[in-house]
Amino acid sequence: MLFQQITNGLTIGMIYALIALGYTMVYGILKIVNFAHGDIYMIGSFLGLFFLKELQVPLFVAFIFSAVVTALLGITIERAAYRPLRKADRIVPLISALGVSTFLISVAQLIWGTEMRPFPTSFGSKTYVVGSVTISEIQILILVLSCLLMVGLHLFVKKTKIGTAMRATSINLTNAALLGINTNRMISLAFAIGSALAACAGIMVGIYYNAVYPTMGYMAGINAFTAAVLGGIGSIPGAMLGGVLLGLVEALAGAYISTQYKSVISFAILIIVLLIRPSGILGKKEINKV
Amino acid sequence: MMENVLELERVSVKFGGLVALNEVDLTVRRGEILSIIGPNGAGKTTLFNIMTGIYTPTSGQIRYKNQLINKLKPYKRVGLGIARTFQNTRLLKNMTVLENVLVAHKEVNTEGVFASILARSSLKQKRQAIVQECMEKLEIVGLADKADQLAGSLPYGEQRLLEIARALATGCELLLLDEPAAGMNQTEKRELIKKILQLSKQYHIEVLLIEHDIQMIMEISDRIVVLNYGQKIAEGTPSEIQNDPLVIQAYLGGEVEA
Amino acid sequence: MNRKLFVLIIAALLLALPLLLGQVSEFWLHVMIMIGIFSILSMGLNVIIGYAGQFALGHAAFYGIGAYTAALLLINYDLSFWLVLPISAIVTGFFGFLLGTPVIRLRGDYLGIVTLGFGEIVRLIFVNWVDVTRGPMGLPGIPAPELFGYSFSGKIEFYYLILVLVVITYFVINRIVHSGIGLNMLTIREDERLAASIGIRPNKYKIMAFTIGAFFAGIAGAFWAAYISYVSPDAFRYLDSVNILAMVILGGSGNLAGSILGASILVVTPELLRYVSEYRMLLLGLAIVLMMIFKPTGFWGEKHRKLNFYGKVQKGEGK
Repeated sequence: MLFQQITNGLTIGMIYALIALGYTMVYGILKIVNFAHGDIYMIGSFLGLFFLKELQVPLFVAFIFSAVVTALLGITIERAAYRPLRKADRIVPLISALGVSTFLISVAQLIWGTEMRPFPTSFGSKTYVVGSVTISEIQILILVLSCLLMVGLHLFVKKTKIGTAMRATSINLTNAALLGINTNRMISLAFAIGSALAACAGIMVGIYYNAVYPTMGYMAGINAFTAAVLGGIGSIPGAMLGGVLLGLVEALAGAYISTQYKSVISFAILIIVLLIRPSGILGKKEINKV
Repeated sequence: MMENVLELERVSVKFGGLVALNEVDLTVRRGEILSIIGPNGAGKTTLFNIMTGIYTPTSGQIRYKNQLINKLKPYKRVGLGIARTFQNTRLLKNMTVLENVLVAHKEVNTEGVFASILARSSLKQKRQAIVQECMEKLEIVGLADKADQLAGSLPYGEQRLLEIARALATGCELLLLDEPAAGMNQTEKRELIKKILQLSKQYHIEVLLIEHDIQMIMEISDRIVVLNYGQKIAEGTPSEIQNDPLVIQAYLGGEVEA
Repeated sequence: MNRKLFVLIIAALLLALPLLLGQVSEFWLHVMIMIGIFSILSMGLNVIIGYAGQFALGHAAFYGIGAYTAALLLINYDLSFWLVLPISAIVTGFFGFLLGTPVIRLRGDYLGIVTLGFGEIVRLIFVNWVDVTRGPMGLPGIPAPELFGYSFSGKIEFYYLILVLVVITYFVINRIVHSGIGLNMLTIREDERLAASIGIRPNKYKIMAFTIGAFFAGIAGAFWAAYISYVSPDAFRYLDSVNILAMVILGGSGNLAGSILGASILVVTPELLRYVSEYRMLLLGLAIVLMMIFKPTGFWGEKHRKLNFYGKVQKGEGK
């Protein structure tokens, strides 16, 4: 029972981590919370469904197509709804993000309807038993692919020239621009990567629960944001750590306390972390200058 | 007999590894104008911030009228009679000059929900009296005839005066002025000096002053404290400070200002 | 003088409206009632966002708490609506106080997401606490209010009731925001650290704003429960919170009349565009983004604020 819950917790934790990366990368550079990120994830999931069902492409092609299209969507959203507001009051892009979120949800409702839709793939239903733990194919896919994506992102950010430029941008936007880095391109890149990762997460969740629906991004978004804050918002390893931790806590709480109210738990964690240690586990403390 | 109003005893402030203030002793005596000078980054504003409660000291004690106030929240210190102005003026730019003073008035801050819904004539009279008092503060700094203008539309020098009026409206007994003359021309500075002296002599307010204009400092201070790299390096009357070799070195060795 | 005349004309029109409209269309009376409900909700939220500057996103939750409180009291305890209305408001105000107390230390965007989460939690409780709320099935059969033995049976009665409630809400909130409390809230909104350094206790006023906003959401909720005679979790979702927020923002935060304008626009527009009603939320989202880009202060924003509302300088002074 315990190990089963840990496995399930790890699975969903990986998903949170993937989505949390999008929050954290954008926050790292622009210092805004992209409220619409959860809905970008939802769109990614629906796109995966579309490619699988309507175009009948193989699963891995659906992943790639959906990631690419969602990345473009992320870039477009930044261009249209956030970039014009960069000099405005902090609250203004937040409200704009809410507008984007509402927009995306209703687009999904218009195209795909408000009902839950199943994911038409035979993949993932096969299960394996290891000791006392039952693990399904899709869980293995989630664990493996998430790890690969995160390691890939980590290497990209640490080892490549563009990754270094991105880190410089997130340390200080103005200085990076003075160093000759095209910061707008870095911002677009952050949105693109975050959105692509969210799309992958969306497809995997769609298969895992065999359900996609327009408001699925809402709670997932709050959970992933909690994960990002828990790990330390702005920190990439923090988002991964936060996601996994949150997934575990949620699975264990769901199993041993209450299933219906397990989202209350992530909410409670969010408030507690924000009140006690707003910089999270791996984040740096901000010194407030007067 | 000299009475101490504010006492700092071996006060230190550290931000991570950075020592902003290092075991500073300082006293403000009854009725005096005390100036704090020192090169940029010497810790002058940090000193104000720990006195007003924006930071708490890492170690040491702050006493105001013999009461330990180390951990007291900023708004509570205002209640005790400590008020300040800011180096970079912090005004409510979209509100009127009068409103900027009103917000600092004690009675405005204690108005209750039900009283303000009912808005009886007694409350209206009280409000009129408060407005009157705030107008008097504006009178002192010479901004009374601009009461209806937006604070953001005032020229820079007058914005600084407005900050002083606002601090006065809190009913303060100790006034902390952070570079009040910055951005003022000579005539404005003369006016400012007159007003600070008036506050001290006529209204019996203790004034603590951070300023770069050495000439002004020498003219109005009763005593001067010199800070350098978070440490107090000298203290004394203007003439003592002028001849202190450590001070001269600090100023010549560091950045020359004023 | 002109202003007084204007107010009188509006008042006369609003009073006579059912006579003009009643026979023509029950439907438009319903629209007017909805405008009333959302005016109360958005004026309350305006205190929190527009005056105290706290970016709260879960306002539909307070609306829901008010509605469920009223529904449960009316169904289970057979109390008079006139008693239930203030009780629901006080209960909801208390929830505003409870939520406000821990979260006010949070900064803008964090506060937004926490209050958003709060809204979802409240909805989950409505859905899952089946013993009390009957879950997704909702609570039907809420009795209509009675006045002097006469039961509210048509839309006209409810129309006059909401008209009275909107006027009271406007009057009360207007007095509050134009008092010392309002001045302090504006100061906190503009510069919290400054507020503290001139003797204002920021937390006190932030909690006060939450309590006031929730209190009036409770009134709107209780009215809604009695009006529709049925409550279910569906009316208090995330999108409903966004909708109320949009009313405050479009109308102009920091201006009560703006909130009524915002509520009117966002209630009426979808009805006018009924042939594209599926596009309602889509257009709303688009409108929010465009508004932020081109007119972030809303239609009737800060510029319409009454200056020196606290007290005027007497003529002949200051010279």
